[in-house]
Amino acid sequence: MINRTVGILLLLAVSLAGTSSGQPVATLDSGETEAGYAHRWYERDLEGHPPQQNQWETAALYLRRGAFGWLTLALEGGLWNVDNEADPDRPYRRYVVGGGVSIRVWRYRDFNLAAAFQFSQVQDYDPSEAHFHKRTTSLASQVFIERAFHRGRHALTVLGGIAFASDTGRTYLWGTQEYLEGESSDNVGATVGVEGIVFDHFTAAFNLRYVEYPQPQLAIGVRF
Amino acid sequence: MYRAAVILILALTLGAGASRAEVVGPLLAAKEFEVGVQYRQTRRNFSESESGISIADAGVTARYGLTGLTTLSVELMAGPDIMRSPDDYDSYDHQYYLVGAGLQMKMLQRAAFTAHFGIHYAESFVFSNTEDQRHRKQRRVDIVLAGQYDIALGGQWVSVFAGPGYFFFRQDYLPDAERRGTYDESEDNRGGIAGVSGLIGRHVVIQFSAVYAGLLQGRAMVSLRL
Repeated sequence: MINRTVGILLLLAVSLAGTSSGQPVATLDSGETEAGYAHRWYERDLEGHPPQQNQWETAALYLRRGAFGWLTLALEGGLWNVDNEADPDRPYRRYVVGGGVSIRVWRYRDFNLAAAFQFSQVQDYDPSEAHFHKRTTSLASQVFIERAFHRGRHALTVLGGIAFASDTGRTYLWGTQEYLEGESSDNVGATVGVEGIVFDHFTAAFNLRYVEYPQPQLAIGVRF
Repeated sequence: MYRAAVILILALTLGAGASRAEVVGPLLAAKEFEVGVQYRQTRRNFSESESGISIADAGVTARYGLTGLTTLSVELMAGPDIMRSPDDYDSYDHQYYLVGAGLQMKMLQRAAFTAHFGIHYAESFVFSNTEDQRHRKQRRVDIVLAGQYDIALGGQWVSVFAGPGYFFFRQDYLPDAERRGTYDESEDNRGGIAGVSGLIGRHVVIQFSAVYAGLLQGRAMVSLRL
């Protein structure tokens, strides 16, 4: 128990310090691997970043793996061209990099008490003369209870709990490397989600995190 | 001890600072999964100029045996570009991004010998936070045909692999840099790769490899097999 506590604290410290939010948070069993596509919509008030109310979204491909009966590791990434309001002919080049861990802390019958820590960073490079580069960094942690219901080759997992999400947004000013940066302050909320798997392999997940504003997420994937 | 090793490698994986990795290695068995960090040198001569590039970097990597015939690999990183020499600039403050993926496919197996073909694409982006605004985009394509031999050694497995390959590298100097809109491409793209990979215990994988494409470039990777 002490070893697990130390492990969880180290993982928490490592996750928040360095890397790791779009991938599903429901835990995987040991040896299960899931790959898919996730899309999350964000809306946050970022103090110091006019306009204060900001909306953005991220899309990423993800890869998750369950191990040891208590750990689920996730990586997510994406390379996209997205609309550039400053110059429609020269879209933003978007880099999405993130990852996270979900940890089953305690198990009782069909219920899991779990914690998830996620990180993602999105860099939008603006190749137009305006140079309106943008960067958002998201850190999130969630403590939740999940339960899986099985029926033949299909299963449904529901989860709910509390959530912490901290977001930082940066926008560069015309032609310079100076930027405006804002950070969220109302960072505590709640999360609910449902993840279904059909025919043992095909998954779809919906997660609604309410931190200041609703932030829904959709993901579809294949589990091996 | 075992748990400490697990936590150490996870810490290395999740906490690595900066990157640019490549994930060509031995084929994995079906459902095997590895996650780790890779250090890589990139030394290339450019075809249209007398200059070249010599950098080193590290990245988070994951490899998965989709089936017994195919291994999927990904590489990712976001963080300060701390692995590059700061000598290039007086004030070096750059953010580094890497996204890459590849696939290796088994072509032939005879006892402990396996031949496989792999292709890997990666794109990295260096965002300059300094006034020079030297943003750079780097793209690479690696195509490898390799032979792999698996050896049982003292209860552990060691795989050696080698073969010819095509290694392409291109660096774009993005529009707001001094070299507005220009790029460099590597020359001597045909070469080869050779390496050795060992499984220590049940979970720790260490791999060393070298690529020759005009110049010699070393790589090292430590992973956790989950």
